[in-house]
Amino acid sequence: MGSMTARPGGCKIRMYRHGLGDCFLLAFANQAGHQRYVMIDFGVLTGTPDVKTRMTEVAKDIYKATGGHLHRLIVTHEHWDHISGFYQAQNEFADLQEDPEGSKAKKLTVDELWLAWTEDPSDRVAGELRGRRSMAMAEIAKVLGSPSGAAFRDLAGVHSPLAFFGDTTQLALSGRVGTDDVMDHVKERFEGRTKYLRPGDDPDELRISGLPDLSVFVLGPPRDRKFIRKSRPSSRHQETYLHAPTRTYLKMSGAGFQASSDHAANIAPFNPRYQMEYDETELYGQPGLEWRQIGSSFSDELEDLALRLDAHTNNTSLVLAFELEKDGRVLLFPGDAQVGNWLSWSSVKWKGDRPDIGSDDLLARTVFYKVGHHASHNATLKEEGLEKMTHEDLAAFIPLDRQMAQKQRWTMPHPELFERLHEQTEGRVYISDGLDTPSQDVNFTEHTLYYEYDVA
Amino acid sequence: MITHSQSLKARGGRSIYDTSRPTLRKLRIYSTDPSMAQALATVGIFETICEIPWEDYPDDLLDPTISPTDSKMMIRQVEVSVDEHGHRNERNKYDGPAPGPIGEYIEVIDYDPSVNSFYKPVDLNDPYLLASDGHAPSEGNPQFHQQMVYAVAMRTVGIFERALGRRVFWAPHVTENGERQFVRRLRIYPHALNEPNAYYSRKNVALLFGYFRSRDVAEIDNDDDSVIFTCLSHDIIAHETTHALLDGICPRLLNATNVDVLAFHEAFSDVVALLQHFSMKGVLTHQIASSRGDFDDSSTDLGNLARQFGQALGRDRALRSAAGQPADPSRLKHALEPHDRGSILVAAVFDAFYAIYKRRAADLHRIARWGHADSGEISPDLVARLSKEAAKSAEHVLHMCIRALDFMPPVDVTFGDYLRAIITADMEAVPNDQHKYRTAFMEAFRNHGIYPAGLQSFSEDGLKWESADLTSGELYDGELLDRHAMRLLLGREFAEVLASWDLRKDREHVFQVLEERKDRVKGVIERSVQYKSPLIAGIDLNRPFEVESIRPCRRMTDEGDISIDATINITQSVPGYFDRTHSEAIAAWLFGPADPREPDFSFECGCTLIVDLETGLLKYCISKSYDDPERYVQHQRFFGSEFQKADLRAVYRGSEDGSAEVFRHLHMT
Repeated sequence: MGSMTARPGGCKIRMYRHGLGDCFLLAFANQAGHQRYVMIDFGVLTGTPDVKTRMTEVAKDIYKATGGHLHRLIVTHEHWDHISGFYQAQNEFADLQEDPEGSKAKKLTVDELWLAWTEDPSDRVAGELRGRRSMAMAEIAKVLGSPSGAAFRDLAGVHSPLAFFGDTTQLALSGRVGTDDVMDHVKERFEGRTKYLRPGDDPDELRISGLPDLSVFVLGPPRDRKFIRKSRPSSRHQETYLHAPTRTYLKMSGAGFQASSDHAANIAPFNPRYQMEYDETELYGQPGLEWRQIGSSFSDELEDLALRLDAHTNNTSLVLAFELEKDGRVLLFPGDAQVGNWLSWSSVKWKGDRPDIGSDDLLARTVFYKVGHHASHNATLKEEGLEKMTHEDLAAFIPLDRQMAQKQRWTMPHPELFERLHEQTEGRVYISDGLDTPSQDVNFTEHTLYYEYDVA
Repeated sequence: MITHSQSLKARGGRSIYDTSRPTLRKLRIYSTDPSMAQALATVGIFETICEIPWEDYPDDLLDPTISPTDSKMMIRQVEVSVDEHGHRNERNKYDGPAPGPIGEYIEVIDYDPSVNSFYKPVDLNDPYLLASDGHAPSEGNPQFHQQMVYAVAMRTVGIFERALGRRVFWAPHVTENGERQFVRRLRIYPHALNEPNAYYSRKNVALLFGYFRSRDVAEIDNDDDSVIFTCLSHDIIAHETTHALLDGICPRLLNATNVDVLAFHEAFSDVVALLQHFSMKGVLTHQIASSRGDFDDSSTDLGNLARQFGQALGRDRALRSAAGQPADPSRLKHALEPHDRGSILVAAVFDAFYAIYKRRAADLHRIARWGHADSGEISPDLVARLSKEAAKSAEHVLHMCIRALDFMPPVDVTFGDYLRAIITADMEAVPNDQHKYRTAFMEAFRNHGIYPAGLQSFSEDGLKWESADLTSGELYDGELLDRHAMRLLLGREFAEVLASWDLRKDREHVFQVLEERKDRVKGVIERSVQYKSPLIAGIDLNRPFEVESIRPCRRMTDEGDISIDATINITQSVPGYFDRTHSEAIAAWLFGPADPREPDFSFECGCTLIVDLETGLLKYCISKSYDDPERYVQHQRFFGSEFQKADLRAVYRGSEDGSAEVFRHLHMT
């Protein structure tokens, strides 16, 4: 039995304060007071100092809090700031340690791993999504690693969204660990004890043994690819914009990085007799006018691709609503779900005996909201999201290090969202960096390593 | 000054031509885009002949060692001029544009990075092409693409020059050490992108057009997999060229400081593209004839026309909503995305245009109805007359819209400011509003919910910018200042420029003179701090400010007089913070201590001075004052919420790099 205990029928939640990244620990208790532990995500952004020490410290605290055993381990999506710890502190997990036969003493054990269906190797759609992602990643890595790509390596733009994928430069140069490696490792070690969750899964089949009063509703990621591609509110062009990876991919290869003639022929729009190797007008290459050349828009392409990649991955986030049946309170963990993922929730129908529980109903009963994507602008919907979270006890938790975000030039938290969160929760918004004094609340306790909240 | 042309025998042994040079070149273009050629109903009008100036061969491309006449049929003419001292000057002129086409304003460079090669540039002086008004419209011939972007861009330039009464400049190139270099020609890359996009790049001072396969775009339900070229859409070319022209005139409009700024850029470009259609005679008469009988208010013949035009690739939204939709004043509150919001302004201008047209054609409507049943085609004479009225209305509206640019505040513009600028500029040009154009504009804008802030009354006089206060001609020491100070100081600066402000003078020379004058004008303005009451409102002359641009402007009045004004844009930036009120920020800026932090945003201030160079009076001082708490709060709100609407990229990167290529992302949508 761990040191973290929820009240009978209730729940306690820890948000760890290790940096810009997610790690949550949930303790649920049944009526008899028996504790069940669920861990959601374990990562921190690339570039955070002393990661190994920090993540190990968090893992050791989880060991203490839970008595060393997790009933469920949940990984929402494949981004570095959600999974890096499984690599950096892998030796704290009995299942993940480098030497699988090594001693399991003092190491965290896990009953079952929960992942989104998008990670399911037997799912065709998932396979396609992953295939595209790794193709694009490989392409970016190749370009960054090539001599001509060296100039782009320091491009903040390319680098910054990719920070979520681990250290790309390193990745490109030495083939070091990236997100997919970590994810593969986790999946491999938990083989046979992994459940791939789909929206609408029967809550009865997701029950944690010994916790009859807790229902888990899977809201996302959506099965419809259209929603996965939709990362931001603008309606019309979004889908088409996101069609581009293949074309961009072709273009990259054609734009001078060992151009393959196949690709060039595929996209040339005119009869070759119009083509010339040189510039007959002689203006294009004129000395002093290099600034007018357009070849360099290639870096924009690369950046676009990186951004799309990042947004897609966020939209593959596993979204879970935990419902405490005793009083109907709901805890919402949307991962980093973006617009498309949110929009899909309202059409989910649940298998089992409560098919018609609507997402609106779940949102209205939400008392704990893990704010998506560190409170960026497009990971919390307005009308279809926050405005529907009307419960008077609503509290919002944001795992975020504002100094780090500023360094990356990200607007987190997004000011308007932040303001609205404040209003909706009557001030119960907690940011893990602790830069401001957390508002006082009977259910809230502050520790150096984590914030704890008693949902009762 | 006497100028006359004389044909001489060209060096390459060509024969002597006695005929004078043509003034116009005719080039064939698609009326809208290639799709019209594929439908039976429109196949007769899919092509239009575009008339543009007959250009000289660009001097900077002439190779002194090789005569351009050696290989091409090019006629050399010697322009002889005698200056005021009686000196005779000779200048060789060859027929342009150079292959590209490359002329005085436009250079088409057909480099395609996707395939890493160039497409052979079109030589419009090829005798076969001269005899056939250029290449015939064709999707498969890149030389026609080059011809079309050149023709449409040149025509758009011409409209601006006629409306403004001066030659236009593109945005200068700013070097790494901050030097502003003259950019003679806007560069056009007809095949720059392999994506469904087209945009004006300030970084390159270029238009980049994309092409793409229709299967790559979900919205286009096409079984076939044809390649679609954005550079073959008349509207897209005109729209992007207008972005470039507008950026050359009002550079600060790329700094969005409220929701209207970028929307204005989009709307203005759409207006110019839309109204240009009404100068295409063939298309216009066809449309008016085929929408016969639509004289009643409810169904708008011109509305149909606009809708049809608007179906040009991807750009139909603004135009579609411009026509035939009832005005909804509440839309302005909710439409925040630049294209959406811009479409409201487009609709307002279009409504004004339609009202003007209806008024002009009212008598024709009455005559036509008399003695005619409601069936059959309308008389070709009537069609011709209606077309003429429509064309004239469109031209006038276009000129009003463009002239207004000189009367806009330099920063932080709103749709309301634009209405005021339109009214003021038009009152200057046409004091007697015989055809009630201004009333039409006021009504249309009001119907769409566009009200200028802080207005006394929604009338012509209320909307006109306040005239500058000129009673402040006293220095502190009691010495009387010449009331014509502005003329004495500015007039002297400009005398030289004005003398040469005509189409023969080299644009680069004029650009350099204006750049040099900026410093001196700045001095004049700084000295006005000694006046008892400030001559110039809105900025603090003791804090750093910029003279952003000076633009002389000649206007032909109704009475046939020429009036010459100078428009001077002055800008000033105040550091703004989310956690500081207006008075705190201003106090820190004026009196210190300055906030050591990086500002959260820049509170943009400035004013536009209109000086009558004939009388020497400062006519208007159109300001966006630093002393305006409301604007400060609006800045705070805008920059605080900008990311809600902004491109995903802006979230990751901050917006500082964004401004240079703002259209790249705007136009992806």
